Amino acid sequence: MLEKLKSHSFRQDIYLFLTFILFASIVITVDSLSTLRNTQTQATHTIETLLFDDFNSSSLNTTLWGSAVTRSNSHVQISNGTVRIKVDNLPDTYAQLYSKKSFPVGSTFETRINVTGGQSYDHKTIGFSNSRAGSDCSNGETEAVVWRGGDKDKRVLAESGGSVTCPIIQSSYPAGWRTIKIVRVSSSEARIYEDGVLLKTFNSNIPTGNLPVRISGYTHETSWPSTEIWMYVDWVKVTKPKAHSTAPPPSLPKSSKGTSSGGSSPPAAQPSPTDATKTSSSKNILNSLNLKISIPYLLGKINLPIKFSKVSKSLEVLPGRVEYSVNVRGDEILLGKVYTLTVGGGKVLSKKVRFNAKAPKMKVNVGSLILGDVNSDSVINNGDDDLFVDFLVGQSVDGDVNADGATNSLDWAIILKNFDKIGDR
Amino acid sequence: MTITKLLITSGLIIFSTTSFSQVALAQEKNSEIILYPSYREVRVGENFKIDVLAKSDAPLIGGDVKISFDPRVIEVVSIDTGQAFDSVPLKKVEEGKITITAINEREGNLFSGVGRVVTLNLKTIDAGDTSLKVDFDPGASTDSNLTSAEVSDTLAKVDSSTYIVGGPLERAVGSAKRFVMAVAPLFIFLIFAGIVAYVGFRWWKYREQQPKDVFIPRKVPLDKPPEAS
Repeated sequence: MLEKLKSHSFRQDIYLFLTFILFASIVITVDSLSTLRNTQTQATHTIETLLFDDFNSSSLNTTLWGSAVTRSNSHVQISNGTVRIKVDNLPDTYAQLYSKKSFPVGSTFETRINVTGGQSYDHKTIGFSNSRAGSDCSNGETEAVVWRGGDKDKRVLAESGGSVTCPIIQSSYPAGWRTIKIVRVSSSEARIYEDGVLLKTFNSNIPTGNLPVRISGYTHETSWPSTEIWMYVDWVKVTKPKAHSTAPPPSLPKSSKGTSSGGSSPPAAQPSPTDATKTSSSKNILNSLNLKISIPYLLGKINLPIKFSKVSKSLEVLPGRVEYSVNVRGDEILLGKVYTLTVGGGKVLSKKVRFNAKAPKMKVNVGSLILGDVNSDSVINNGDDDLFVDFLVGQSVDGDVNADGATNSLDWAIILKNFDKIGDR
Repeated sequence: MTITKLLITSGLIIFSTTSFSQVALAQEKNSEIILYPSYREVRVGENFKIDVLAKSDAPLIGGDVKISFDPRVIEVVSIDTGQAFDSVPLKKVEEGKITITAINEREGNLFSGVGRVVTLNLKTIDAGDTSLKVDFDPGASTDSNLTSAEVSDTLAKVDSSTYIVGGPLERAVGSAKRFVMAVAPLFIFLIFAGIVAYVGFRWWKYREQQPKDVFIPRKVPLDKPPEAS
């Protein structure tokens, strides 16, 4: 035994063991200290960006994204700052773009995307999903919360553990740009927004595991749509609330850098999938609206619906900023007419402003908008009070009137301040 | 002469307006959240009460109080509503954090002065030096706030409190116990990692000691016979 203890080989084993223990101790101690420091940091509800890509590179970033297609005429490729997903109009054909990373409950997915309108045998899914779209709600993905184009209809879908909820939101949805936002609030709640408007809050069949984000299109096992399915993706962002005050600010999507954000018109260099040859440089057409908007007490970013004529957009409004430019070149709004612009919706009372479209670039002073319409019924009254208290007790973001990330007494003060005010109907 | 008078009068008006507005602004942002008592010695297992007070010159419509505490030492038994505000719809205790939102139910119903927002009914569950800390970051709106009717967070100062739970020996034992509980996973991991490393090393040495000059047959595809050599 003594001989064995003295042997070189045994001593070598012991030294190696001790070295490993020392190394492991250092790693664990550093990790523990880091965890301790994090738990002592005060939560300030900053947002952590888990994934952001504006697709401005010349090719798809394959460390972030994977893609898959069937048929030679289908593709997923980058062009002019967008990812273009094309599904050929043939049976059993798909194309998909998916993140290589998966995201937990609590994550929020946002994308600005231009899709072709609904048609028979045309299936699209956009959101958190473990697999591509199938030929109906019960095919394809098995764990998902997605915006779904199902034949001609716009649907939303939540699916988990073999059960699926997939209501129709709109029949015959049109082509065009839209901003889709999907919030995995908790393991029992998920919300889907389009252009800032809440389409559906799911409280059942909510997936609980980590899921990649995926944008996919599929035709049908034996049939096919009359035209190709196209999706242009301008940017994708996945975020999650973070309990650290030292986090770097998340990158803004490129659409927010200058003018219209979350708008539904494609950039000038990117023609609509449905009309690739359309030009909008005519002098008789309204090119842009420069809006002056202020929203007192706003502390965070909100998406503000804007509607006039056939234009329906979502404007990203930031606290402290007053001037916004909305690109309407692709909407072919004729000059020389008087239009009624409706701004507002959601928790902001709607305001209507008439303007005469005299020049391709028009300035419109919308003025102050009023926050506090929690139940979106165009009047701030007891209904908003009661609903807000419910949201406060449940700590739901639906009660977050000033968009600062918390439902608290500041939101309550705004509701009381604006009590009895009525929006334009 | 008339012009001089006019200039002096205008100057005085501008000066007084500016001064008053600055005073008003200063008064607006001077509210406090106070924990009372801020120091106390209690025994392990003892129930005790802490009042959360709001002090404000500005008329308040509501307030949010977020308090951090050590759940290994203190347990929140219940939270009683105070008289400063009409109601306290949100009383949430979760993972060492108390979140309270108190509101007045009508705009004309405002609070100013010093008043009790809530009373925390606490119980000590282990010995140690511990504190209650009100979360407050000047300028932030998602932490503690005392909100005026003009939709402004007037909170400028918060209080922390210290509580000594148990005698010196109990506190020392309590600290040691918590330390052991904290490092126990580390020790378990180290033992496991050491065993894995040791077995791995022995296996590697065993492999090294095997004779290296062994015959390895060429791989032959299964769909065709081996070539005649």
